[in-house]
Amino acid sequence: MIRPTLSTSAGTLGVSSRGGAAPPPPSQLAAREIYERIAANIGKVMQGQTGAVRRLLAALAGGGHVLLEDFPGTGKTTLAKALARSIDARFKRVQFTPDLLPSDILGVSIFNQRDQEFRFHEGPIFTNILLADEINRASPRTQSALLEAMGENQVSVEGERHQLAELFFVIATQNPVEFRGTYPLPEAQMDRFAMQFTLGYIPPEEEALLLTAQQHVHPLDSLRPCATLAEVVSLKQAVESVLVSAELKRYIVDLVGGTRKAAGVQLGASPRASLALMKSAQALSLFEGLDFVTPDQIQELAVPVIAHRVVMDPQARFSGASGRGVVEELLKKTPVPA
Amino acid sequence: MKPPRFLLGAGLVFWGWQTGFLAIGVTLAVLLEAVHLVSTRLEFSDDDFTRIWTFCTLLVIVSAFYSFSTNGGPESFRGLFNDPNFRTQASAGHSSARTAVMLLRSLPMTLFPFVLAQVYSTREGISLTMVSLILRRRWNRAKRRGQPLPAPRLTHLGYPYLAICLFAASAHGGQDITFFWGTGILLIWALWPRRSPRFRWYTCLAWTIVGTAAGFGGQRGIIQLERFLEGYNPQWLSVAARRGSDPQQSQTDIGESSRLKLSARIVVRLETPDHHPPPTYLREASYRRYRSPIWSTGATREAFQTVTPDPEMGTSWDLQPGVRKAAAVNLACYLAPKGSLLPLPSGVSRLDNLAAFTLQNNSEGAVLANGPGLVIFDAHYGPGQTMDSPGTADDLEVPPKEMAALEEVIDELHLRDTDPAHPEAALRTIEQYFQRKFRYALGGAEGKKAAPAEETPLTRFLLRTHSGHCEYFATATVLLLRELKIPARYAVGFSVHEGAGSHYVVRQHDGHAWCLVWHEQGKYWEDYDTTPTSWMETDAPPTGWFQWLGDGWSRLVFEISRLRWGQSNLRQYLLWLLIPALGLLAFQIFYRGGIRRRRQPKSVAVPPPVWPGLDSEFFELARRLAAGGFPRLPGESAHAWLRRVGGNPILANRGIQWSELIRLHYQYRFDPRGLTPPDRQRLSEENRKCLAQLGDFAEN
Repeated sequence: MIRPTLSTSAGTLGVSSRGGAAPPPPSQLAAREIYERIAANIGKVMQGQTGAVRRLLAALAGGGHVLLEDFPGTGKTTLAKALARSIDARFKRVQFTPDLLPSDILGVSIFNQRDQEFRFHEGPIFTNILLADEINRASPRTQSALLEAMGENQVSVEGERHQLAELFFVIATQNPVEFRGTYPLPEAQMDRFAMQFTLGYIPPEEEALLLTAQQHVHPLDSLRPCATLAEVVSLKQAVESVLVSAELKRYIVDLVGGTRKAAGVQLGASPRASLALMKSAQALSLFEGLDFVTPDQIQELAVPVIAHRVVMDPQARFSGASGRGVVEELLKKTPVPA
Repeated sequence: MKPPRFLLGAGLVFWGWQTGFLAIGVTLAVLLEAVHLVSTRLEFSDDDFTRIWTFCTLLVIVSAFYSFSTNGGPESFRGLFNDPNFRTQASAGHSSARTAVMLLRSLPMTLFPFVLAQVYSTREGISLTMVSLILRRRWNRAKRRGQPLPAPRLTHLGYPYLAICLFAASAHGGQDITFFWGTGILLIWALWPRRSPRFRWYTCLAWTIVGTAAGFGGQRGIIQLERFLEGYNPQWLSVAARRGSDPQQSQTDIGESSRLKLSARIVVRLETPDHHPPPTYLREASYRRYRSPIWSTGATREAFQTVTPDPEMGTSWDLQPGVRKAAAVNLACYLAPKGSLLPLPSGVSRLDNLAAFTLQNNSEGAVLANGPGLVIFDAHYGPGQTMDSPGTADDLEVPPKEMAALEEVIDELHLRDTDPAHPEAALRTIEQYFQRKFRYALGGAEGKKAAPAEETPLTRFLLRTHSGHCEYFATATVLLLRELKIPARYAVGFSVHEGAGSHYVVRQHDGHAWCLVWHEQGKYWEDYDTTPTSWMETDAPPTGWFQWLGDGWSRLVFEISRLRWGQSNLRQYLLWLLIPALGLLAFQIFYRGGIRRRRQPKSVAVPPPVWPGLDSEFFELARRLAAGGFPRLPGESAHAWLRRVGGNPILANRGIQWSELIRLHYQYRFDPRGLTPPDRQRLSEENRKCLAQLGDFAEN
């Protein structure tokens, strides 16, 4: 039996339910157990990335997609692969290159001479977890092939609609330091990602442990699935049952709406950002054993959910302003319900 | 935002150096910067800071009273209210300015305790509610209504205090450039850590040098512009001033081909009591010696005697001590920056309410005044004794060149036997002669080409043309009388003939010349004018609609000048008008939340949403913590806040267990299902428990 605790990524007050407060329903307790199982499994591979794993799983459970942006070698692909291997689900990886075509992702109809008809051959997008590695190396045309899939869980090829799996999760990676041969993701594509975050360099102690762990064999090779596809689907369903008060919905709207009025912002975040923030916060609350959302979960996820959707005007960008800075400032200024 | 180390100390030393309080500045700087050597910090609550702020406010008030009293404020303002005039106004103005400067200089001293308290306290910033009555009022109102308290805005006092030091240092007496360079260095020091990360340090340095150089050039330019404008100021005023007369001599247009028509600009305004008729002439000066074409006094400027004002009144000047004249007229005229001759009625004995700096007169009855650009005063006058010196031999002098023509006229008028002691018959004859046989014309040189070379303009006027302007008539009359051994003088000034009732105006084209005749029996000088009265119509330019515009403009300039030179009571009325205006403003600020808010009734009309759980007892604990110096920041969740303040040794040592409280509070606030009655009871108990663990911390 898992006892619900009120904790955040930054720490916990170490409290537990003493029977007074209504415990979460059994489905939520089971869902939290699934989360902890997957997080622990990924943790075997990803040293010192507890926060990133929390966010990744929050996006997964909240029905969103994730864009990992970081320097080469920080573990973006490893994290994606670790997640894929932890879940007993289909996993495809697409290495995005400049000559990649939309049909290479979505699939293509090929004329079958024997049957004298066109037959659709599914592309790698027909999977449960898709790793779009170095997504910004493909042309915007190819990047846009993901729009419909990520937004509506379906693809349309040659006028025919093809439904994707119930669990369809895209993890895209991109390298922020290289500009040659890359194409920045269009705003519409950025908006489809529920979160964008970085992994960052881990502390030296953790890095030393990582060296030890990989001295002979990569831990990823020995990683085994710890959750079934059905369990992950039930995790997603459990997230939907987490309650959000009207006051906190208003707080979410104020935060997101604030980006549209902030100085130096050319294009603020869309209502899709509000939705993503709410669902991700619900997932995080579930992970923390709560059946309602508190301001802490919203604040923890505000930057990864909103910042990448904010388009700064060139002058502000040139002055050093960024979407992350705008959201952090909003978090400081917007009165948080207490 | 804390200022860099030692910046405040440097600011205080700079302030002390500039204002002459160097020892105090160094002492305060040492006290302030010693904070870097002392590890001990004091715990001040909000109330403590409010008390220190109140103390500093009292210091400022005491400092204001001290400055006011040491700068002669009470005396000068008492004088102003008892006898409002130019001098008392100036004195009060100087006292106020000196008080303000002294108060400004002392600000770094009077506000020092507040800054010192913050620097040595555990606080990173001071909430504005501690110093602002308005914010404090809102805070208390929210507290009374049980609403969530507005998040405090924390401000570090370092930069505002540095600004006060620089501002106070600017009130220094020196004219050197040390203030500019000192301020520049301190500002660069203050701003350097805040420079944009977009540029490299050497780019910032280059721009700083460029900015400093531009600032230096700019302030030098402003000083030069100020001096330039100061030099031009009298010239601007002189535009409004009337044409001035020279007290030593008068350059006539006698012998010129024509005399210029003067403008219709109003130069003197008269007001008489009870519709009393105004004086006919306003004399500026009189002259004795004629050397064509110049009349002069024959004396130097030093011949002027200073007139002292009445010691009690200050603005009353006796021109004929002991002589009282019944008639009075109120005169308003402009003064040139270096002094002007006052246009005064004949027989003037006393001037009242004349706010002049100095007043001088000479033996020819000219009164030279130095003072503000506009003076408005009462002149007491009447027939009889004048302040002019009695007629002497100088007043009988006739240029030999003019004698032949004068003798010819005297023979023609059969005045050879005139008795100088009884000139009445001769005066009538001469006046009739000029009225009958002469005509007024601005041109005075008709027949000049046919005239012999030795013929003087006056001879030509008397014997051939019989036509000229007032200067011809006045000069000819004076010399005729002198030839008859009757003392006479040439007078210049204005003729008063436009207006009605009590109000009259004198325009520039009303400038006139006439003569003064010595009255042997009465021992005084009498105005005597032989110029045909048609001169008024001839000299006056044609009137039209633009004349009204000109008069309107003249009136506007006059009223502005009255206000400018303190000749109006409007300033006093303005002061009284300001009081209700300030009251209304204060009402708006304190009770209505400002005019703008009132103009937006829609935003006020929409009631704020009432969220569940706002009656949670947790807010009581939050208030206690905030009062103890641990306020929650606007963007800080309750959980994050307790985690932050819980780590502070002051609270950590009390072993407060508030995790259950915050869990129940969160559920009460953010779980749409709320709390069950037993849990609601537990929330209240947990809060009581935490308050008990807090003990006497921040207890009112």
